[in-house]
Amino acid sequence: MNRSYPFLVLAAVGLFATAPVLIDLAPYESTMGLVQKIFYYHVPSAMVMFLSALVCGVASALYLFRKNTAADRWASSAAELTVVFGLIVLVTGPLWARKAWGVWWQWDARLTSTLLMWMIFAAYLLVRRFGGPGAEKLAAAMAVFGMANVPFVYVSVNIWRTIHPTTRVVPTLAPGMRGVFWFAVLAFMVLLALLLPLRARLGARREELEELYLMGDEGE
Amino acid sequence: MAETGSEVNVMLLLRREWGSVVRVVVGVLVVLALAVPVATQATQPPPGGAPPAQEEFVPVKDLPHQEQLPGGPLVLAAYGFVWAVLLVYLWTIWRRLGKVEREMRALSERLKGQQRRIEGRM
Repeated sequence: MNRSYPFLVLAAVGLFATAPVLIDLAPYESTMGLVQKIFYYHVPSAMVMFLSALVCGVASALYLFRKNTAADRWASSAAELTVVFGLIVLVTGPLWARKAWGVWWQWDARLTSTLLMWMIFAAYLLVRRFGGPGAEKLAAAMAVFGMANVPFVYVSVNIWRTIHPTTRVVPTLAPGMRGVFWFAVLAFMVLLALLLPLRARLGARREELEELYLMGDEGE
Repeated sequence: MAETGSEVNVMLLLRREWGSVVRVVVGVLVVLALAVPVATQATQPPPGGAPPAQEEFVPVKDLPHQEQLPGGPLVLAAYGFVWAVLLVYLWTIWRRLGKVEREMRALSERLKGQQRRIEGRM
């Protein structure tokens, strides 16, 4: 966390305050109508989920192969954010699907692989919380596998037959939708840039606290 | 056994009748084969043209469930959930940070007390 942090906070507040207005002004999609506007929070959340999963996987690999404890701290922070943004994706998606597809859930390639990826990172947090001594390494290995899932989840809609829209939707967005979408993506990316160092700071302070406890035990 | 004249006449009559029955059946089948595609085509809307005339009014409540489901509450639920999750997560980080900071302050005080006791003994 550095001096740019307050500016990031202001930027995030401004972006998230403006986004609903722009989303309201965005044109309605021809077949889905109003419910398609969930897209402007659903897809950026998925992008942030993918990015934080990649950060978690890379940082975990650094921890496993170079014994970098700071990388482990960033990995656990990124894993928590993957679970938070994954939860948003997994809840807003069915709310959209209920109207667009007529069902809350469909066991197709994209939805199922996203759920599995989310479960891997949820398991990562559980292993770290309840795994006991040495659980960090086991969790780091899980994170590497979780990261390897990201490209499969992304291309799943293009490879397997699915009712989920393909990856061609975003590059071919109509001008009125494109600007609003990338604005929402920017808002979520700034939020990630805020939350990741904040959560890493929490991890760093916990480590300092543990060192203080050890010093106290040695002094008695 | 040789056939009598009357039996031959009956057989000829039957053969002639059978031939006319077959002709009638074939004729009916040909007419049906031609009429069915024309009839089904007439019931379908012309491709790219105006929709067929409405034959009945369907009240909204009689529509299938999916079509009468309003999108507004779903959109509000989705956006409300996003905001709730983000605010709750921010609150948990703030709470956890506050707890760690309080523990660190208490521990620092305890360590300072220990230090003073050690210095007092010396």
